[in-house]
Amino acid sequence: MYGATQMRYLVREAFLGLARRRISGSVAVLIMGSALLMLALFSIITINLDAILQSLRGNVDAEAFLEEGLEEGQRQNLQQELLSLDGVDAVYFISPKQAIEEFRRDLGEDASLLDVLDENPLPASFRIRLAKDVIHDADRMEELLGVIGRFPGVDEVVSQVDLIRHLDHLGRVFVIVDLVVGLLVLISAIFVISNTVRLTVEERARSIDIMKQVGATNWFIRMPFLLSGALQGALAGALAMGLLMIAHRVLQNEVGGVYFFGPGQIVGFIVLSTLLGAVGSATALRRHLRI
Amino acid sequence: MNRVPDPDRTAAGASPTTFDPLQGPLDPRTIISAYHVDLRYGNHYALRDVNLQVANGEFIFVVGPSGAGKSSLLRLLTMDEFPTEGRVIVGRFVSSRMKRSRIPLLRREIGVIFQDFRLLEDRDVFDNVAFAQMVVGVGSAEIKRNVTRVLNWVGLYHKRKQKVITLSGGEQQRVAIARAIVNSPKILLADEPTGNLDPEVSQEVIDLLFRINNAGTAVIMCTHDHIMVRQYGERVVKLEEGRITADVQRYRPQVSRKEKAVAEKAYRPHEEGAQRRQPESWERAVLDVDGGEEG
Ligand SMILES: Nc1ncnc2c1ncn2[C@@H]1O[C@H](COP(=O)(O)OP(=O)(O)OP(=O)(O)O)[C@@H](O)[C@H]1O
Ligand SMILES: [Mg+2]
Repeated sequence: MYGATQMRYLVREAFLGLARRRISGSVAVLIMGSALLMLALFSIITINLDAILQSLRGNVDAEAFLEEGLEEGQRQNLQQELLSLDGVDAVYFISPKQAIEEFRRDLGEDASLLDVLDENPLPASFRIRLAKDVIHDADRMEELLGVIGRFPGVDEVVSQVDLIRHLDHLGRVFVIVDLVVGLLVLISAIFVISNTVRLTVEERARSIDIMKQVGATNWFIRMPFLLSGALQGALAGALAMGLLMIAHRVLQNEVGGVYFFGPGQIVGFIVLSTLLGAVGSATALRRHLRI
Repeated sequence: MNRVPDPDRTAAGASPTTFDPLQGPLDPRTIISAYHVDLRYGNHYALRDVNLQVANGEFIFVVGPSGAGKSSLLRLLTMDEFPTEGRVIVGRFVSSRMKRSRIPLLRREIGVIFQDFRLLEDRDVFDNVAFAQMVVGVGSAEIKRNVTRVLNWVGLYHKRKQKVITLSGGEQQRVAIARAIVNSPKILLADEPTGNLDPEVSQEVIDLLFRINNAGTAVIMCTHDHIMVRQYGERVVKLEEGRITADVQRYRPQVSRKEKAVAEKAYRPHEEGAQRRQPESWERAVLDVDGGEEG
């Protein structure tokens, strides 16, 4: 039933409504914007933490040091057996000579320290590349390493499983913090918008009565409020995202390698903010525009 | 009259007093009817056993002392209130079967004006009148045409761009009238439309209402203005403590612009009704418009 004339009218009303309460409207946008900024900030931290976790997991090869005096045949059998284990992707042999070379490379300038040694103290070892699903499950990884450690010929297994355990824990904490912050932000954003809309509705109660008297439907009366709430939400979301982008750019110049939201996530964030604004004003209307 | 008889209902429909409200009005010209309507606020009856039939094109004054229930009656017709008992039928809308979502549709078919004008004060004259068309879904070109027409008709087109609060009371009421008629309603309700206006301006407003009525719109006007009722009263409904204590009619005693139209209106809804009073009782019923202060 409603055509372009009505759409234009409702949009214009929404903007006029915002223009009428420029100050309280801006304050609401600022408050909602800071709440959203918190949410975005925590999400960014989580994303970066996750990236660190992923890259650490990428080089968590376990190292199984071999007992001395292992014969060539035994060693090859052991390698076969380890390779056949579920969760082991590859097994590389590192001879003591290769080990000391690597060590030398790692030391770089300080390599001359090794010159005081008259014999190679490093044992031979297997470098064991673990399957992805094992790396992502600290418990399984620990169990597998235990199995490897009990093979005859294996002296000791070292890995970064404890570090991963810590990072996993930290990751979980951050997800919980994200959820809590997200919930608080949701509630406060809805509350802030709902509050300004409530004030406007009360202030315009007389006009609203007149509109009803003339035959305006509830939706026709609500729509400008919903639109202006959505608009405030979008502004707040864009504000938060803009500030965070600037902060990221600065940090990127200083440190580098900091991840930011992808374009899809940015759009999603602003859409979410817009919806929050609309929901905020809808709750105010439900309570204060009993028609 | 030309209604197709319903075999199950013929007996009930035979006499107006045993009329079955669900069947709708007997006469196709009836546009408003109320059947045994009570309106109660808590224990207080604002209206009590009100029966009223209004035909297309009638002009009715509703009189009675303050608190008698005049405004309450109009609020029942716009379905701001619903009867505690009984039933109100306005056009195709029946109070007992009214869904809330249909109330706006009813309001678009009724023009309403009030003592306090009820204009949107942050808008100009044009937008106030246009709003009534906007909610109906009319396109902008047609809105412009219609609003221009009614504003010219009430003589305020030259003030279309002024904010309504800058207008005089009489002008504001004319804007309200323009808004009330822009959707060409069959019914116009006026609740003390001249209550805030001085006599000269009141006359202008009443003249507009008569012109609207002449064009075929039924007008129901609540008023305290004895002189106006005495001068123009054609059908007068008197309310006292929520009850209709008089529902009388006569030809308007003075020759007016409306006289011919009145004379042509042969139909009178209460001609056979028990409440019909003879013309000689008219003066007695109406002279003490606001209760017994005159006798
Ligand atoms: N919302 C309400 N709640 C309680 N009582 C009400 C309400 N509205 C009206 N009334 C009562 O109903 C009665 C009729 O009121 P109404 O406004 O219809 O009178 P009225 O004839 O229009 O009076 P006036 O000439 O002063 O405008 C009054 O006694 C009034 O106090
Ligand atoms: Mg009243």
